Amino acid sequence: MVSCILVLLFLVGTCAEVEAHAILVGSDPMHGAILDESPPRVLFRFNAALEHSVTRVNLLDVNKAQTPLRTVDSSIDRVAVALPWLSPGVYTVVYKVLARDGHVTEGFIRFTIRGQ
Amino acid sequence: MTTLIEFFSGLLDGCALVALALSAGGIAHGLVVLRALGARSIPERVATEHSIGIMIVAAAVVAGSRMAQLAMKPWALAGDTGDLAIEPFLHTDVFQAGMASVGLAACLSLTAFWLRKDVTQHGRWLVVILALAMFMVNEAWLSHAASRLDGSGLLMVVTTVHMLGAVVWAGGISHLLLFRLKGWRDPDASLQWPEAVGRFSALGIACMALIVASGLFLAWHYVRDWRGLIGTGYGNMLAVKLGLFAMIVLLAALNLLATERWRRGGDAASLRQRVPVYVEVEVILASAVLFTAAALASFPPAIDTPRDAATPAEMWGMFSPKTPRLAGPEHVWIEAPELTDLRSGEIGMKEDIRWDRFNHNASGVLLLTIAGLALLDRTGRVVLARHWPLLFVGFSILIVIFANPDEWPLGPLGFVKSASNTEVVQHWMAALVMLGLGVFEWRARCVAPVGTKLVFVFPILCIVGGIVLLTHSHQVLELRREFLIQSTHVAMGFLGIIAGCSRWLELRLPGPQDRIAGHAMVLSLVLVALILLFYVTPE
Repeated sequence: MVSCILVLLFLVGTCAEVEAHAILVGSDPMHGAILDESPPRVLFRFNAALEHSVTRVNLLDVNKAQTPLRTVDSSIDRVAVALPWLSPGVYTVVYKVLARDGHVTEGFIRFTIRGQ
Repeated sequence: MTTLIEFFSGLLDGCALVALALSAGGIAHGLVVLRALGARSIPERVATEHSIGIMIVAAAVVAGSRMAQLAMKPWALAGDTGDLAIEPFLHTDVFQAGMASVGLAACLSLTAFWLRKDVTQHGRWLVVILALAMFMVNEAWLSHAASRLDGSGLLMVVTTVHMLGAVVWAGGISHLLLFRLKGWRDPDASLQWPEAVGRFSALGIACMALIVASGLFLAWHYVRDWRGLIGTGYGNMLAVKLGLFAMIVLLAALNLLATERWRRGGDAASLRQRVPVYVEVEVILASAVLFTAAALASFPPAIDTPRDAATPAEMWGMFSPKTPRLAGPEHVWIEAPELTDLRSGEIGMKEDIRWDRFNHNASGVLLLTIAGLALLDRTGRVVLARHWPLLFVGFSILIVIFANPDEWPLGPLGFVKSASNTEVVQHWMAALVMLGLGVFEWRARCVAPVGTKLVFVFPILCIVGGIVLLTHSHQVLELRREFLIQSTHVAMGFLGIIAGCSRWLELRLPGPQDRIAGHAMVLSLVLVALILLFYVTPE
């Protein structure tokens, strides 16, 4: 019975690691920003060191069209990706990163470019 | 897909942690408790070989778990098109440290196999200890400390020391319990129980000193102030871990007192009757602490989220007495940013959050009724009160129907879609636990014969239910609001574990301690009911 309890406890207990550890602590442009013109790039800043070789960032427009974005600059906790010129509209930039502790983090920021 | 894979990866991480505890604990148990190096009698050698046998399997499980985790990682990192990033992943520190972990765990298993052939050889023990030491050092590169931006080197060292103290203690006490269980069938081994407990006490004190010293350093680095401890998810889980650890220390102190009494006067009655029960509860609490440690890893450290920390006033607002909302919820649909489709940007809709408050408050009324009837049943004056466990069945139905009104069965989302939502699945698991609580406890009290093992289902499910609540996951976005909700669930999870352990002690201890433990169980249920009754969903 004791063995059963231990197995059960540990199986349930480990559910907590669903969420990843690295969190986005800042971005430029910020989540929810309303911009006058298309930004040249997006910069993400995390609270943890990253494994840059497996970082993935994609741009999504309102038509669900997906464009992979190229990393143009990176440091231990930051990733910058180049953006193509964007017409007015709402855009979502989705990122997926691997922290040095082995946790995968998925998230997004959204911003709006308004017309002149 | 990523969330699901990370879920299974976490599951494997837990398996590896348990197995590691049994491996490290096996060495400590063999050397300190069984004193294998000086083993003269056949039973001592047999007990040591049994312990090493568990260690061989446990270390192999560590290797297998780590390998499976590594194999899953490229899928977690894959893009929406399914393209796997295998080649880039091979160049990461995560992969290299992971492969080293697999190799060192396999090495630990093989050296333990070699040791089992002659457990009296100093050289063989030294090789096994070296293998464990190398594995533990490598683990530092897979810990959260490895990803910290400042002072990661020192944090990695302290994390490893903390982990070593925890796994040696948790594994050591598990081996002690297994030794006791085996002793029931082996009269020779049973005779050594008081001596074994006495030897383990010294090891336990040393491990606890390591855990406390390293834990204080880590808490200072990751939390820093009181507001971080009280007002963040990380701090909250740390507080639960401290609470559980305090209970372990209390039980360990009782073990120590019984051991000292035996050493002074040779009276082993308490050591034979009460200490085995304390050890059983310590093993349960140790597993809960390890779980809490795993849950802690899922939160960003408090020091990283100072602006999102809740104020004491906000915390009081969640727990303070207030008029419960028991009127039916209004059917108003509102925008739910957490239901936003990442691909399309479409914002989801869900029922007004007042539904959530009604759900919790109504559950509070039901649970308060259950606790009241349980108390009445203890007086023995009302015969019908003995059927109180059946109300848990109603509780489980309430959870399934009302916990997630935008999901199956009330909401527009179907069963399959709802089943992919981690939070929904956790609510269903909680409902299943409640159903089990009701059915098994009712059968144990009203149907089954006296002495039935069914009585142990209630404490086990209370503990499992408590752990489900502690793992109650919410979105990382809107940290403060999510934390305020989580704080109530964490408190209930903690009390659930206390209720389960109290009931276990009530069933296993001789009088009068059993009655004290029984009252503690009912008190825990009342406190959970009050939290639910005064629950309010933060805006």
